Amino acid sequence: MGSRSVRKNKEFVHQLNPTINMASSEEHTFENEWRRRFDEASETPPLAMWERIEARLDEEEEERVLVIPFWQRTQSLRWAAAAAVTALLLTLGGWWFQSNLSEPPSKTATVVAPREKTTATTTNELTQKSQEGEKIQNDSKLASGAIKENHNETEAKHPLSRSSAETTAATAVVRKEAKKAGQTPAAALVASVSKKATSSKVNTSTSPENQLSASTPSNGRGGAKTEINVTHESETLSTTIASSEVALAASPMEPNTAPEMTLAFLEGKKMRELLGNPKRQPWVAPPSQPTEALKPKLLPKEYWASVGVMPASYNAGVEIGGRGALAAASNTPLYSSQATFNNSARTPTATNRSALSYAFQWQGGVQLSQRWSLESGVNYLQGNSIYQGVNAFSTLSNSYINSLETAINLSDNNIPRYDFATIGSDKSLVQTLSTSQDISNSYQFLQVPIQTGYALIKPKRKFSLWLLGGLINNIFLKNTFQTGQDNTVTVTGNDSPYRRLSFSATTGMRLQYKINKRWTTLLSGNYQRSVGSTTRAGAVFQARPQLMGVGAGVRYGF
Amino acid sequence: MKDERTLVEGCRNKDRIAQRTLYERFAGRMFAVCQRYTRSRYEAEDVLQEAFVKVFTQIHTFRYDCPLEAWIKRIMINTAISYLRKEKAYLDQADVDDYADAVSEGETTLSGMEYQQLLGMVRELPAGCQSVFNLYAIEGYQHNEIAQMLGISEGTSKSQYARAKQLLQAKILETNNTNSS
Repeated sequence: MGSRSVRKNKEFVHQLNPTINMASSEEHTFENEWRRRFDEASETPPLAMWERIEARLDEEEEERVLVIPFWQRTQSLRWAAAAAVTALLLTLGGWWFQSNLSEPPSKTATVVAPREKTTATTTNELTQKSQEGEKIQNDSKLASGAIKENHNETEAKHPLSRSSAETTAATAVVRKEAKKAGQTPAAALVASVSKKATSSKVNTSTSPENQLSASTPSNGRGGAKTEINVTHESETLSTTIASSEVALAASPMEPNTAPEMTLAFLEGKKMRELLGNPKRQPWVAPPSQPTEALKPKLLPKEYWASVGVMPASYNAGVEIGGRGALAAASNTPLYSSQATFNNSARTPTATNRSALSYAFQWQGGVQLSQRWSLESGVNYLQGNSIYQGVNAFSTLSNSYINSLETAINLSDNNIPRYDFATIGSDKSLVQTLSTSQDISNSYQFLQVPIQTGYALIKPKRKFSLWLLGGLINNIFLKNTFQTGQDNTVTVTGNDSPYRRLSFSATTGMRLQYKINKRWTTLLSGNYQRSVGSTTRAGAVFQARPQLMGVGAGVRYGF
Repeated sequence: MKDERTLVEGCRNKDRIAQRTLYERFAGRMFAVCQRYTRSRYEAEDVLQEAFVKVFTQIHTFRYDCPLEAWIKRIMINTAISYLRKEKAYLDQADVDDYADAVSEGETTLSGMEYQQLLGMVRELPAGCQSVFNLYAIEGYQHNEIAQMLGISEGTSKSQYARAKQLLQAKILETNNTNSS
């Protein structure tokens, strides 16, 4: 190109012109004449041209940096995202309240009983533990069987006329409990809304009678503190908290079910601020000049529908134990003994192995701008996992029972608990054999994802690359697992230990190749992690599934 | 020349002042180039903007092996050609059989013509003819090079040029006759 350009440069041509004119024929005159007239030509471009070029250069440079200036993009989208999250949290909160308020009052007994046990185990030496065994067993019996009696007994253990020193000690235990359950400590002393909610809740479950008779001067210390904090709140908030407290007091909840609760409280006040925090700056973003030309072009919204299949690696993340409610059940020697020789493998990662799973995906979405999309749909997930459990022989049922089976049976409302209490009360009935068993454990979920996509590579040409993130509503359908006898058992229905609805956070990347105007092929990588346990609050085991998958699909644009 | 080198280095460092200086130095002449490859001022502006963005984003590939102006001009021409290709301006690339049926030279002098008149004539040429005429007559490329640039055959390039020349000569004659009468 260079030499050619030099040759054709005007000076060069002009130097040659005399010789050309003299030597060659007239056929060059036509070209030379035109060339001379156009070579020197100059026209003034419009004044705004430079601004247009500069704006384009800014845009190009911004793309090259490849930052995700999430907080600085269009205002409307930011509010749309905030609104979507708020709506989701409201649904979540509403569902949580509904499902928990309708729980039977027997929860009180199951919550309080473990606390008594914990106090006992922390204050006594291991040698004393055996002496206490009988009492604990009795407690457990009461917890699982005679609910009303237990409740009375608990009340008796929480006298209103307790000395202040004792109450402080009790508060300390509560705090410890809350910590153990992964919660914010019972912070009747801290002035944060969510913490206060937790603390009042904990207090409620510790001694419900205190809360109910909060106006009487003979209050326990913890209850009084909560009251003071509530009155210090702003008017509107105090009303909210007070009303929810009444609800809580009417039907006390367990401290370990608080994550959603905390979120729901946060949402009302802080979430909007959190999302739209104007001070948040992406650290690599170049300082952009606010010119009009910089405003992103708004394209007409494009709708699409897609189908896909995703082979995945699914880990059920089952962990037996670790929750307050478990203690009641763990008093049974069957569970205790299993827990003893299962201790080395109590972390969920060590006891679960993922197995090949798959998901079918039907999704739809709308492309809001060149960068953003909003997507939803329905997935059917078949999640297979292996739980490395323990197999034990029960002389009562004359059969082998494995640890997962026991945990599920203990948590299942459909199975009468006294069976297990009976088993538990008589150690001789259970012969523990230290055999481990790989238990096949599979789940079926219907998933409703709500996610947003951000184009890392804009869909200008054939290829585009998207970053995805959002929430998945998991609707529990079925759990199938192997029993100690190598049979399979199916757990389903509303009374199963599993929550009907649980949530997962999801993130992923998707590569898109546009075949033609309508059809696009999709290749995606996806990671999902359950937010909290998929089991109910009262279950003696937890499941926190994780999923990693690579999917393929096709999309049709409307 | 040293000044030009400083300017290029500034542009490589994405210095907005250097970029603006370079733009202002060449914008006028380059806008004229864009004008004769396109059919309207609006199209010419589009090409000019696109080409200058390319100049600044590709400035690191400039090796000082030709004058800067020639390099920039080449980018303008290439951008114009791909712009026209997008606009399907090459659909009328039919071979012209009456090749080299030239009008006599003496009567086609441009001496009395205004630049704007000439530009108008070039713009009125059929799309295929216009580019070939610009590339051959004004830029001085050979037909085989033009064929490569436009993705057409050498024969097509020659015939298109012949037609362009014929049409232009006819127009000049007509204008000269109108002026003299």
